[in-house]
Parts: sequence; structure tokens; C-alpha cells
Amino acid sequence: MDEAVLIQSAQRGSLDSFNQLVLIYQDAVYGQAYRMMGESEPAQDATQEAFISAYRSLGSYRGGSFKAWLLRIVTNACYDELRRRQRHPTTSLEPLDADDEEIESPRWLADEGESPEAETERSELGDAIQHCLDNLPVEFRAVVVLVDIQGMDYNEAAEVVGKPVGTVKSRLARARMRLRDCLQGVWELLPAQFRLVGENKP
Amino acid sequence: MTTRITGHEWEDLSAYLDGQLSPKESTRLEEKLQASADLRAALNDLSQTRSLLRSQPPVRAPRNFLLTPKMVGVRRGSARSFQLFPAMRLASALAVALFILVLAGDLLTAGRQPAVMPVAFQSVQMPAPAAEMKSASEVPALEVGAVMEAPAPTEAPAEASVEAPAETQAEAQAVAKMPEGTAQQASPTMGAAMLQDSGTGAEPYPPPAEALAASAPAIEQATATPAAPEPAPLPSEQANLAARSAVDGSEAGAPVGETAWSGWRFLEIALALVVVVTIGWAVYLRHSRGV
Repeated sequence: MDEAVLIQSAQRGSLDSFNQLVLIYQDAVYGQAYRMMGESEPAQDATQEAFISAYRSLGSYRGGSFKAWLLRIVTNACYDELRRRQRHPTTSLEPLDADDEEIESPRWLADEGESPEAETERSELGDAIQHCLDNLPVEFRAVVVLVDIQGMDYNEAAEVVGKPVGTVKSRLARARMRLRDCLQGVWELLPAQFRLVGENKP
Repeated sequence: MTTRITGHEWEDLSAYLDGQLSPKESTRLEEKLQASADLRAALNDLSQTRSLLRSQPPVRAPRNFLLTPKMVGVRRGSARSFQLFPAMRLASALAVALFILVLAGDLLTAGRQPAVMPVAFQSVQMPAPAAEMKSASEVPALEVGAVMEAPAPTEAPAEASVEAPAETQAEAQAVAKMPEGTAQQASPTMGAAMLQDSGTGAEPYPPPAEALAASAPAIEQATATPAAPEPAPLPSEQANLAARSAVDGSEAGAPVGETAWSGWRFLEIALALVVVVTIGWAVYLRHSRGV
């Protein structure tokens, strides 16, 4: 069924129509949440909350890209959760050394005993990229995920984050610079094909 | 190596990779790239990073995120409720508006309504004094009550003796001024007092007891005089006819007033019920939407 028809039907209260939209966009919405949160469980929570919130606020949808509208909702949900975590930080699970300093144990080095599908999904390169994304400021992270992972153009990304295109352009450049610096630190851990690419670096 | 590259140049390099620069900006950047090895290296770094990010397979949702009615707090049939809600909201608004209009109409007419009842009550008492007054004198009505507008009393030529016309004129004034709705004028006693006041000039109203005493002879005379034939039968008949018409009119008028009163009340009650039902329904539909 046509997306516009589904949206109109959902706006009239049809939960079945909305669930068809959920099936269409749940990968994109979860992908954004996962890249923003860095973990599967919080990403699933954010995704579910985003769809519930989207259904309840369908009346505020005024046309345009429905995907961008959904991604905006889930991105804002992730912002809220990440800020909440900053206000109420949990006790670090990282082991401490004799000086009470955290012993760095990068998550991409740990064997988390995931299922085969998850292992495939979380490849070494993927883990490295996710680690570097996690170290970005959340506003930079949202933009680079939208453009380079979700494949949106600048205008769509601007619509999602609610900022001008110029801001998107600036944040994207800074995010790429930081990612480049971060990935240089784990270059040796990348698959051979990417190491070769990086070997021509000075 | 990249220390000589400004933030603006990094932005241009990034946007250049995405094809987001204008032709003019692209040309200018390409000229810089030709001249600067650092800029070319930076562009290469950004391009690799961008390629790495874009090489990532899309993340698949680990499960379906389908919503259930319980999740969003809606019940079955919510789609129909969703459609009915605006209609019910409009219906309740219209019912409220209509109710206010009816209430306003009732209040406007209620200001006159009390006058109808006393007029009828006064008119019923008119015949005897009116007939008596006709037989007592021939003075035209205009002398007594040019201000009077009610037909029955004005037909009765009120005269002369301070006591005899007191009742009649007082009532005539009461009838004439009743539509203005003052309770004082509706009272025969006060009407007599007013007549006496008008007859004596600028004196204040006499006390009620005095007024009663003044009106008593008039009533007595009224009961006595119809027996005695008088030389002016035609005006007397006219007065009686007028008095009867006043009586008939008043008798007919009272039920009309009550009917109107009942009509307003019935309409108000019915509309109030409609308002309550439609608002209640609209609230129920709103809740059933889970919004």
C-alpha cells in the first residue's frame, strides 16, 4: 500500500496501518538509535518509545519525509536518554588500577559472547567505528550517522536535527575529522583491506 | 601536517566530497588542492573515513517494534472513535451555543414575564370599580389618566371625589405602568396612595393604612351603584364591555404566560441534557483515542 495512504489511515487512528509503517522503517529507526546509543538494549527501548510517541503525535506530522520525521523523534529520544545519563551517571564497570584510574578495556577488544548473527553484525571494523562514534559529542554523532550511515542528504539531516544546513555541514566536517583521528588510533585492528588504505598515510 | 588547514577548509573538503559545494566554490577549492599537498592529504583522509562509515552494513532491527493497543492506550474501534470525535466536539459546541441563546432569550422575556401576571390579576378586579365609576360621573377618561394605556381602565371615566375614583385610577395607573414591572405599582394599595398623592399635589405617599381607608369607600360605592340606573347607559355599557374585555383578556393572558414560561423551561432542560450528553460523549471519545 502507498505510504501516503498508510499515513492518512494511521492519522485517522488505524493502528494496523501504523504498524505497516513500523515494519517499513523500524530498521532505519533502530539503526539510528543503535548508532546514537552504542548499545542494543537502550537502542531498542528508544526505538519502541519513538514509535509510540510517533503514533500519538501523528497529528503534528505535516507532510514531507516520513522517515526524516521518525528519525527526528528517535534522535530526540536518544538525546534525552543520553542527557539523563549525564545527569545521573552510573557507577563505572571499568576495572580500576592501583591509582583508582580506569583500566582501558575497549569494548571492541572484549569477547562479549554474542550470537553468530550479532558477531557478524558487529564486525571488528564496525566495533571500531561504533567506539569512535561513542566518543563524539552527541550533536556531531547524530549528524554523521544521518549522513554517512543513514545516507541522508544535508537538507534531510537538517530537517531531522532541526538546524540549518550550514550547521549540518559544519558538524559533519568536525565529526569526520574526529572520526579520522580516532580511527587512526585503531588502524592496526582494522581488516587488511582498510589497513592498506591507511598505509599510504604519512 | 594538517595544522595549516583551517576549520573552514575542512568544512569545504567535507562538503566537496558530498557534492554540496556550488560550482564556484568547487572550482576555487580544486585550485587550492592543486597547489597544496596538505590539503590533498586531508581530502584523502576525509574520503577514507567517509568510505569506512558508508561501508557499514545497515543495522537490522533485532525484533519487530509493532505497537499493540495496550502500548498506545487505545481500545478496539478506536478508528471509528477517532472519526467521531471531531463531530461530537462540534455537536457539543453547537449545543452549548444554542443553550446560551435560549437562556438569554428566557432572561430577556423573564424581565417582562412578572408584569403579565399582575396585570391579569389587576384586570380581574377592574369591573366593579370601573362600572361604578362610569355611573358615578361623566368625566372623560382623559382627565384622569392620559397616561393610561390599558384599554379597560381608560374607558372608565374616573372622577372627581377623592375617594371614589381612587381605586379605579390607582388601578388604572397600575395597569398603565405595569409593563415597567414595578411591584409597588402592581399593588392596589400603593396605587391608591399614588392617586392620593397626585390629587394632593406634592405630598408624600400616605401610609398604607391610610391608603386602605381611602380606597374602602370606593369599593363600597362600587358594589352599591350598579343597582341604581343612571342617565348615561351607553358609556356604562361601554365601560362594562371594556371591563369584560379586560377580564377576558386577562384571563386569556395568564395561561399564555404560563405556557411561555413552561416552553422556555422545557427547552432549557432539553438543551442542557443535550449539552451534557454531547460533552460527555466527546470526552469519552477523546480518552478512547489515547491522546
